[in-house]
Amino acid sequence: MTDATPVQSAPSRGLLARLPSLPVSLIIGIVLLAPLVVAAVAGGSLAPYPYDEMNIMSRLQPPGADFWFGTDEFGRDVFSRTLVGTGSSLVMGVAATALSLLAGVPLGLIAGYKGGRVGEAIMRAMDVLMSFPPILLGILVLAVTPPAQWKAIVAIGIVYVPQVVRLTRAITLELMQEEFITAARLRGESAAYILFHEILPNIWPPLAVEASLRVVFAILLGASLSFIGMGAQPPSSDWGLMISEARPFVEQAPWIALCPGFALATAVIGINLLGDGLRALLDPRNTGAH
Amino acid sequence: MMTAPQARPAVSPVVASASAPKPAPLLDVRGLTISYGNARGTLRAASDVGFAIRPGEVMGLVGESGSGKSTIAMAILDLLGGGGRVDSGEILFDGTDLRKLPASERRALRGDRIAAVFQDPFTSLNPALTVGRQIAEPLIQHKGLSPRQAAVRVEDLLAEVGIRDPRRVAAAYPHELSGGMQQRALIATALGCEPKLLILDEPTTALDVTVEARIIELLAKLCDSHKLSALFVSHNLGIVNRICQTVTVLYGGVVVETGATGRVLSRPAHPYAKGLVAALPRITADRRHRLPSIPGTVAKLSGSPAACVFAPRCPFAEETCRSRPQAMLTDGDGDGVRCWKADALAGTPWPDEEATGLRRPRTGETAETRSAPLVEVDHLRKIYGASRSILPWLRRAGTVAVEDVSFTIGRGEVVGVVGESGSGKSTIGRALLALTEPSAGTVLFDGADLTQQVKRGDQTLRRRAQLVFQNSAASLNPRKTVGAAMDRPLVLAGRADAEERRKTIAGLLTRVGLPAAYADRFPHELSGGERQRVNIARALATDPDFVVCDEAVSALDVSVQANILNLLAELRDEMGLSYLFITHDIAVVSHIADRVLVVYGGTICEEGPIGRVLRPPYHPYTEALLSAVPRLAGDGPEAPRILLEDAATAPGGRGCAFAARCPRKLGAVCDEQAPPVHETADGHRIACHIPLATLAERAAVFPELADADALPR
Amino acid sequence: MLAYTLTRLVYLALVLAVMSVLVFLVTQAMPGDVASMIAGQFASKEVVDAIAVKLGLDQPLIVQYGHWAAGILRGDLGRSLVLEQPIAPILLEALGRSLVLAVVALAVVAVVGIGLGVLAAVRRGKLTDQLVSGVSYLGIAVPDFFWAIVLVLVFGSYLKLLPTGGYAPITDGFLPWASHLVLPVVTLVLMLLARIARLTRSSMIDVLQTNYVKFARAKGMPESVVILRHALKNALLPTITVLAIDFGLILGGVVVIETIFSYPGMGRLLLFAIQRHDLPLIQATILIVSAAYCLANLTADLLYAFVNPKIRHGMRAS
Repeated sequence: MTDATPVQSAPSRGLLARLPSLPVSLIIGIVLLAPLVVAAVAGGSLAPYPYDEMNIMSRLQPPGADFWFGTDEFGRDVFSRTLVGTGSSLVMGVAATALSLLAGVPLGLIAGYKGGRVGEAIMRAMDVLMSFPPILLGILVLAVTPPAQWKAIVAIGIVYVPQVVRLTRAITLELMQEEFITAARLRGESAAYILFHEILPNIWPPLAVEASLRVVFAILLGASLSFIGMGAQPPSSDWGLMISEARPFVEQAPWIALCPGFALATAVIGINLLGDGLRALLDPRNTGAH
Repeated sequence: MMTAPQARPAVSPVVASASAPKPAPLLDVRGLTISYGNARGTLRAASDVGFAIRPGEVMGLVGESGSGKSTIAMAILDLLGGGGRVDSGEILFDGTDLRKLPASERRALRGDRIAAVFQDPFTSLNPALTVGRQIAEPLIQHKGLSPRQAAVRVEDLLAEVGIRDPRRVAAAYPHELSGGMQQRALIATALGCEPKLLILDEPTTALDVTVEARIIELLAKLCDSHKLSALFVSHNLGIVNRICQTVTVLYGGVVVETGATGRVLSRPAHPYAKGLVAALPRITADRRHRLPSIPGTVAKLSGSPAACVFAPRCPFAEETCRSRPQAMLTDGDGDGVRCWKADALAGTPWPDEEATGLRRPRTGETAETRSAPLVEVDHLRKIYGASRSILPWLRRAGTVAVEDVSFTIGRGEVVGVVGESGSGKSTIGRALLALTEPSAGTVLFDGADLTQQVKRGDQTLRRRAQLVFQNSAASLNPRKTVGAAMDRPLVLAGRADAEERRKTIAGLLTRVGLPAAYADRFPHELSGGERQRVNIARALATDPDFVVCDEAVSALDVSVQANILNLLAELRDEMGLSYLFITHDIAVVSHIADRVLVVYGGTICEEGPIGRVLRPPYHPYTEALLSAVPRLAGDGPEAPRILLEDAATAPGGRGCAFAARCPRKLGAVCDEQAPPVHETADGHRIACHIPLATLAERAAVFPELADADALPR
Repeated sequence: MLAYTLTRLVYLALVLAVMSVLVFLVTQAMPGDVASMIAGQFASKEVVDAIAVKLGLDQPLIVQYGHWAAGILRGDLGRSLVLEQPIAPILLEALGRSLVLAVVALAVVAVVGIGLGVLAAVRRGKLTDQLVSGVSYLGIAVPDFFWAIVLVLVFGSYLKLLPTGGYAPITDGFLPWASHLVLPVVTLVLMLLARIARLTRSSMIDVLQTNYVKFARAKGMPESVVILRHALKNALLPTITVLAIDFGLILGGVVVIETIFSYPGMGRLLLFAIQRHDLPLIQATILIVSAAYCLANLTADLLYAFVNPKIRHGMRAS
């Protein structure tokens, strides 16, 4: 198709030099997420106040010079709490997604590559898992034992395993029809080589896009679980939990809910844009990148 | 300045005589320049293209992929899309420049005065609407018919395009029809408003050859009876020869030659046209010769040409060709050629690549050839989709892809498998490579059961049997360089020294005619022909004895196809390879195969040495296939075509697989009993209920082949 | 089509059976013990044991499951420990309310979402497209509960236009009934709209590039016919599936939204059951919610098959 096109030596050029050719959404996504990542890593040390320092004298203070985004019903600084909560929310999203990928990708690869009874069994198990509405599955897992954040992460991770398995299996099945896989079988490659060297490199781009969206869903689901009291526990400063705690005071002090709300929105939009950008960047039709 | 006009044979009954004043053209395209723009720059798809179609005339617009022929057709329809833009030029239809009309008026012309049929019938019909409704749409839109009136007209139209049961077909959804029926429905749609001009964009390319023959027949008949003019876009010279009165040859978005079909195809004036005509594989050609081919790859233009577009690949090119763009030279009869040397080259044929033109003797042809065969297929049977289930309504018998096939392949022998879609030819190839497990029967490779060995995890035998694919793009991992793709087979063969492997890869690439530096390229940086060479090189990397070529040249342009066929023949001769050469094109297979299997519906109809299969007695199906092979004007008389019915049902059951479409069907015996196999001493076998003597009475489709002495081997 | 439906129904029954076992086991593992809950905080061990024997709690788990499952098959979902009432009528009532929410919200989402998606696809790359995608982003950028709080704040507390929670049966009159629905429906629409609009847009863009759309244009069909008759019908297939799944989700109770708006549907019932450790109620609710969800999924697949003539006219069942 590109007989006359000069070969682009993509790897030799630095990321900065390639910046103009990167998708706009990717750049905006990174710009939005960068401060959040900084906050997640260094949250506590950046915060003007300790996130759990109560002060009855300064309850429900509106935003001002002392408290940039006001205080909550215990007089805790909303900005500090939001800052510290970044870690909790992002960790929840990323860890749960990682968990579902860790369990889902190998299962999907096996189901797609092996097929037969093993594949059938895996897919049927996934069907049962998928028969529960996501939040219900989370609640079910959490209701057994006293809630804790790590349990919420595990629960969300489990909720998203079937989707990851299905996607991985679908791509694997599609790739199995590809002639270059047939060529690998013909030259006598082992199953492991085909899975890890021929299939996996072609799976990860769509998986990366999928994972970025999963992180969004996981953050939102995590916030929802915290909101109904099944995720992060007081006095920690998870965004979902903060909004939940703010609800009774929303008429007098809407800022308590707004600050973590905006933080959530930034994270979600940022990751969404990152995903869109990744999709554009990894599109095989985009010949500049291989 | 051109070839002598009086020598032009009158091929067309429509062009009455050269002396009569010609009517004004119905479609007159002048100086049409089209470009595609995207972020990476602009690509010139057509440069200063001009041609004229007179009333009642069918003009062929031929060229290879990337020549811009479809782009021009879409520009006439105002359906360019995707960043395409007409930069300049006029499209005069009935004297009006379409480019000056507002979009709404052009839309009103589409489907009414100018109708179109596209390449792929399988995707051109809307899956969610009934066929009848889709045919009725333009009638309601342009002619103001009520849906009820339109429904009546739809049935008439369907009957006219040769559909036996118009009412049922009108009520059907597209997926319920075969490809041939779908294409007939599209043609009926185009005819509905009685257009003056038809735009036919590769209308038969996606169809099987026997179906294609019928559709071409239908189109020729309709153009004649409706006095239609048509622009027939095609890459297939044989089809153009059959249906077009005039032809315009495109190369790299430039018209290189135009004129009467008979003259252009028998005595092409432009070097590219010469090459194109010469490179077409012909059944009647001497197979010991290499096919003439055009070196290099198809040009892509990014601006207006500063030199002759064909100069880089032209064997006659001189310095002048590379420094000056060429002007169109025309004579009074509308013949034109874009080459300043055309007159000087008038009698010069396209050169053979090698001075001798003869292939080297084959190394494999020794006493060993007569010893045990390399591949033995015994009663192979493959059923897809059979399922056992505890739920009774889910149990199914499955579809028979291959039904009881037995044959052998000798060492150094090339066996061709010819068949249409659904004939089971690819399944046979996959079974031979242990890519699919036979439902019954055995496949022995060098005396061992390959499937069982692979199941046990023993891959050594398998590496001796390789595959060259049809789709050169999909068969290479897009994320691996050519070198990396070729490195693995060597690593698996235990070649530990990386430096030595690199040398081997360079050697293999050179062997298939590619620069060794291509090892560092990614598949998407190569052209289709180059990728196919890489595929062949990769298959050779395991040092195989046997290669299955599954439609290995079908997706390639004619000029490139000849190159690859020559390469495969050379490799066979030098390395003593055996091939199973699977194809739908009996002309291609006649160039490379020693023996041929003609398959239909999963069974072998006819089998024998290629020279025997091309001569009577024929299996009725072989005869139909041969009669469908298009011939060019200069190649001798066309045989009467045997037109097969469209397949109504999938083959299967107890009788002959071909019974439903057989023009010589005897009666119930064909449906109920498997045909007996007539076998002659030289290994020629025909499975048919008709006695051999009766089959032998038929006239030869290619009379020049009837003399056995004319056939080598 | 019939074979396909039958297969899917058999399959659904199997999934529900497996699920009932899972639900039963998980609730057994929950803290709290039915007998002591019934007996009350200060009951003696003998009393608790007696109640346990009476309820069959001393028997092996498998027998207990048998009793429970047999009851469900008879339509007896048991008695709620906290509410001290039979569960079936309570559940039915909650399910009905969730149904109302689901139907209204989905009708709005379908109309608005598909409309926006088509608009964005046709005006691809133009301002309209970007506006639509911007609006969609806004909907999914913040969790539903955040929107819910904002809506309550604006329409309930500041503007005092709408009730901020609760539910009025339609017997109280249309206006009170409808006014209680507005805020939860708007929240749901905000949450679901983005996915439907984006999905419709992308499948519409794919369909607009097909050969049959090109052929329809070559027939001289006006653009409106090309888009509405030729393209939309095919582009809607994936959207329909997602809509049906969303329906199942809402039917199964949107816990958070129902909590915020004090909407007495399935979600709130479930949360109530879990918070009060009402084991029979938890079991029954989860089972019914999951069954509703599965049924909606099944409907989605059947609907897809029905709309698609390729499948409708006798394709393979698997």
